[in-house]
Amino acid sequence: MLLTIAWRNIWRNRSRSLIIIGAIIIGIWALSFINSWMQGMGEMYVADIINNQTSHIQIHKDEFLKEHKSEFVIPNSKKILTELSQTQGIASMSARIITNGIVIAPRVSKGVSIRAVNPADETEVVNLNNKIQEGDYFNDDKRNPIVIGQSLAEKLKIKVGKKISLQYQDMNGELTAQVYRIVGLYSSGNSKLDEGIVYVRTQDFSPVFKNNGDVHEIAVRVNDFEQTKTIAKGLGITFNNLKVQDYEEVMPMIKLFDTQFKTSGSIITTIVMIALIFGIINTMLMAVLERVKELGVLMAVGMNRIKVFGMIVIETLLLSLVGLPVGIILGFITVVYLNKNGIDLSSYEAGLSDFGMSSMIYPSIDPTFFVSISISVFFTALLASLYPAFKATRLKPIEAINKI
Amino acid sequence: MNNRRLYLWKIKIKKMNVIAAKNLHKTYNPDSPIAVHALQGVDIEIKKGEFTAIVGPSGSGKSTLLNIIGGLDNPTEGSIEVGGNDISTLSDNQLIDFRRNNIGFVFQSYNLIPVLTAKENVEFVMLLQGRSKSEMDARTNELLNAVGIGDKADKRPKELSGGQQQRVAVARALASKPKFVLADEPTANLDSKSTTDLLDIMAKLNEEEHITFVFSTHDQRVVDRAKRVITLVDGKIDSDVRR
Repeated sequence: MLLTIAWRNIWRNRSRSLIIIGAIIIGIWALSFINSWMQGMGEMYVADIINNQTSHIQIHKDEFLKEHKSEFVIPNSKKILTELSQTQGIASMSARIITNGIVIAPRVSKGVSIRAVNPADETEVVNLNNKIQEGDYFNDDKRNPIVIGQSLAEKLKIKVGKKISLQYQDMNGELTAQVYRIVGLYSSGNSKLDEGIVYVRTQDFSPVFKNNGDVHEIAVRVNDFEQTKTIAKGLGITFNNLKVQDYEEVMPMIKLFDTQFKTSGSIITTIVMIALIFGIINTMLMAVLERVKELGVLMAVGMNRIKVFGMIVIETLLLSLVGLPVGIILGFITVVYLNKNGIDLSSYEAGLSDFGMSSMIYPSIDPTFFVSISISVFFTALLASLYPAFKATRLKPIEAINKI
Repeated sequence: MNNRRLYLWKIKIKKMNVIAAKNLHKTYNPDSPIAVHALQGVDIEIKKGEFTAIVGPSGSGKSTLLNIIGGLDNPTEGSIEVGGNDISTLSDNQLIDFRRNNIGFVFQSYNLIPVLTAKENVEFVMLLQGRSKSEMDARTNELLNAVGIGDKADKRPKELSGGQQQRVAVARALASKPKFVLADEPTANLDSKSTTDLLDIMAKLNEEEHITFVFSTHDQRVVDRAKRVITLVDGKIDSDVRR
């Protein structure tokens, strides 16, 4: 009967109840969207970082990470590459020679990081071939081709087809230079990165650099993303004289961003719940104060204070739980639609690119979010019900009945 | 009469009294210069089956007396026994429990639960008592038929006239099988016909079921039907007439 009374009481003032139910629906809908947005941005950010920069795992000589000196190559690189190719769970790998140099164009010069790669291996690991905006990706058998960032080309005031000079120190410390022809301009989505890294072929670079087949970095891509850390740990044991890092260790900012996204989502959720609490308290207080006489009669005929308390709590919970499934369904539909179609932020591309983020966001949400939001709404309603229910039990039947 | 016989006689009298109030005092704002002495030493005994009207001008202490008899308030001084139980020292929560099982209320404004049907309003008190569904159904049907609105069991209060709502209130008051029914100005908001019909029902229940009724009223029609009229003036009993 308490349930019946509570349910029917909700609809006594239909408009007031619908307002609070509407607030709950909109709150949950908004939270679903915001959290999916945050999660989507986080996932895109991580995916972009992995695809454009770090890959899943990187292997270096420990000293190379402290000082990017040419002498700190991975010893017996070829043997290690062979062992990696036989390791379970690894999809592809790319061996990179990395050194600092200067790119000299007819009018402008700039310091860059030179990466000498096997083009076919590199595309397996970081999809650079898909980032080409102008020209192509080492497709022609031209002599000494080079691929540079689009933003670097703008800085150097140079185009595809033109020649540039790369100056650097070889493995023996000798200053040397090579002329390269620009065959392609790439854009990774991170303009700062694009300005700083140039790609050449190992076959063109290595004889002049004199690295004798050893490389500075091996980038690894795994088959199952969820197994990245496990595989990295295993590789660290196998190659215990080398530094094996997963993508979060390579770029700690990833974890920071991920934590920030999650924390922001939690803060926003908390703020919305607090706002809901006050809205519900206000609504239920009004409901109690309007029914002072009725509550007095209930106590007069023998309804004890515990049942009165319980009736108000149940009414509050029912009021909140009416809106919950509707909000969840709307939130779910919105997330599914946006995950499929994405949100186009190309008008903010320049700014997002500075942070290494794509301009197309695909919101996504962990299904457990809907469980946690349901629990949050339930406890929010429960908390909100306490004061109005307490107020109701403090009524004295004789005073309540005599209230006009 | 020897002491034993006297003792047994007093026990018998005590058992026959539904309500026994002794030296009831009630003062509001006792420590204030504007203290109000609503009751000043009222003694009342109401026996089972009585049909009693308590009358008096405004400010006579009528409502205060009814509130104390009904367990809605405690006296400042004196004792009040209902069915042999002293309720003057019970706590608020204990009074709620006591009222549920011993006292039925009929209010001036009916005070039915608006979201419940007539049937559900009558069942409500029995539900609070923990009665079984079959028992509730049987008693509800019996009572609604006894007050003449068995055909309106599924109607909500807003679908009933004032007279019909008051009949539901009477049925609700009787649902818990109380020791007595306390009716505070039950006819104040009713037209003549509804008043007559209601009084007929209450009188019939009183005569046939020996249900004890205690009224607080200004309505002469109620006074005329009462078998006992207690008049209060300035917090004291001015007269107590049995007919």
